[in-house]
Amino acid sequence: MIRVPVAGQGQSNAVVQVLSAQAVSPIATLLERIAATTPIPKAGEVATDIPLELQLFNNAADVKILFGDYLRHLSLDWRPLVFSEIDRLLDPAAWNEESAMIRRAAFRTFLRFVDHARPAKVPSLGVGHSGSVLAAWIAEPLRLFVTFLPDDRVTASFVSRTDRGDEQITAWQGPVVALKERIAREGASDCVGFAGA
Amino acid sequence: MGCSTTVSVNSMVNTVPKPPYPRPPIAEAVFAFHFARHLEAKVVDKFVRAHAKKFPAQQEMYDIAIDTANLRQAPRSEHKGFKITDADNALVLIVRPETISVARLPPYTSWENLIEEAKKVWGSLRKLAGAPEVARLSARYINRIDIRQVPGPSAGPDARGGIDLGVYFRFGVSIPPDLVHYGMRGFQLSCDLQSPGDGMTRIVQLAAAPSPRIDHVAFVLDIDVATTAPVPRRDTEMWAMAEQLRSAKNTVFEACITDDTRRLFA
Repeated sequence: MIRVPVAGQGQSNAVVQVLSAQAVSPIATLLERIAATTPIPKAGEVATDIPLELQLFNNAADVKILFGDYLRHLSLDWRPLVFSEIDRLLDPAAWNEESAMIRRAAFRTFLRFVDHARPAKVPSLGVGHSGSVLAAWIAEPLRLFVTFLPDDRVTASFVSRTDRGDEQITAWQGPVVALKERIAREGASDCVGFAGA
Repeated sequence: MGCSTTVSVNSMVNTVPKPPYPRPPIAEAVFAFHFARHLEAKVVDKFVRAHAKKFPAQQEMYDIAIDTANLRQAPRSEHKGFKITDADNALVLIVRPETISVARLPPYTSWENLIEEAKKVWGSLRKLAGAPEVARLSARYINRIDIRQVPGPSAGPDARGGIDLGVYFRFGVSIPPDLVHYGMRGFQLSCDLQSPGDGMTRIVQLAAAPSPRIDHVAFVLDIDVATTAPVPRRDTEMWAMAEQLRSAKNTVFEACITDDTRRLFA
């Protein structure tokens, strides 16, 4: 007999976790079956059987706890500013049909960039339809819009003006680890506040 | 002037920070009361309801029992308490009939802060259930130490080589020379240290884990200290015993790491 502690809202969205190293394949299969029958909302989606306020609270809690993994490596002003952005994005009072939950894996990509590249300026944040994290750094005439996706993938749009005053946009996509270099190459280091820029 | 600048820079590089560290690697700090007799279910419920304002996120916890001899039988579930989280998502209480755990997630502030929260929990519980007999107290500190490791150009994505554990830990594994050329992808080490003299147990675990940081490897140093001597019924004496846990877990932590590790916490 194996006892498996489970935390969840009742059992409706329980997350099953095997804590025993002795778990064998049939048990793992059984646990997968249990997990498969417990509906968990997909990224960006809103479940219908859990109050919206609770879902938003849980989503905010989840990404804030994730932020904790990086907290000691960031300057102190990031926490209140990013938390305030999260609260704004997941505010039940401002929620509408266009709104989406923050996808944990996308938020993780954002945090990995911030920790790795060390931008001094905290961006304005948004959430894409699929739960991706949108970040905007603006230092006119330059504007940088980055979409942080799961699995360390990013897309970036660099918006600037030509000598004649026309707007030009350069789009780029690649791994998050290469974003800092791309920003520097596009002359946008000032925009995000890289050290020495 | 040039000379004094050089001295200053060198002294900064070589400075070894001392506790309390500016950036401690604590991923989770837990203080727990383990009761001699299970709390009644109604006491657990009342306790959780009484904390609804400070801990608005309240999740029920279940144990699921699976009969491995008969996997076709449906699993049975049993309600086993609550996990309640504060609005900052930094303080979590696990309330079960046999234990109440006070867990602090980042940002970790101090032992004093953790104990202050534990005292509030105890005070609240006393109001609801008198002073339940405590069988033991425990403190568990899970430290995640991220060490930079830039993979070589030919290294695979899971490559773990390149970090000499002995540089960072005085507690660990020794790889025989004949095996050292195999890249180590992970390890887990657990040690149960008993000392009848001071009435405490110390369980120390060290494991390699994926780091959330780019180009880093994480090592989890998990220190769990618990009392084995009878816990005094008087509050002041009980909290004095809790202070011994603090001292014990600090001693274990400092004994397990090196100055190179301490520099990571500056």
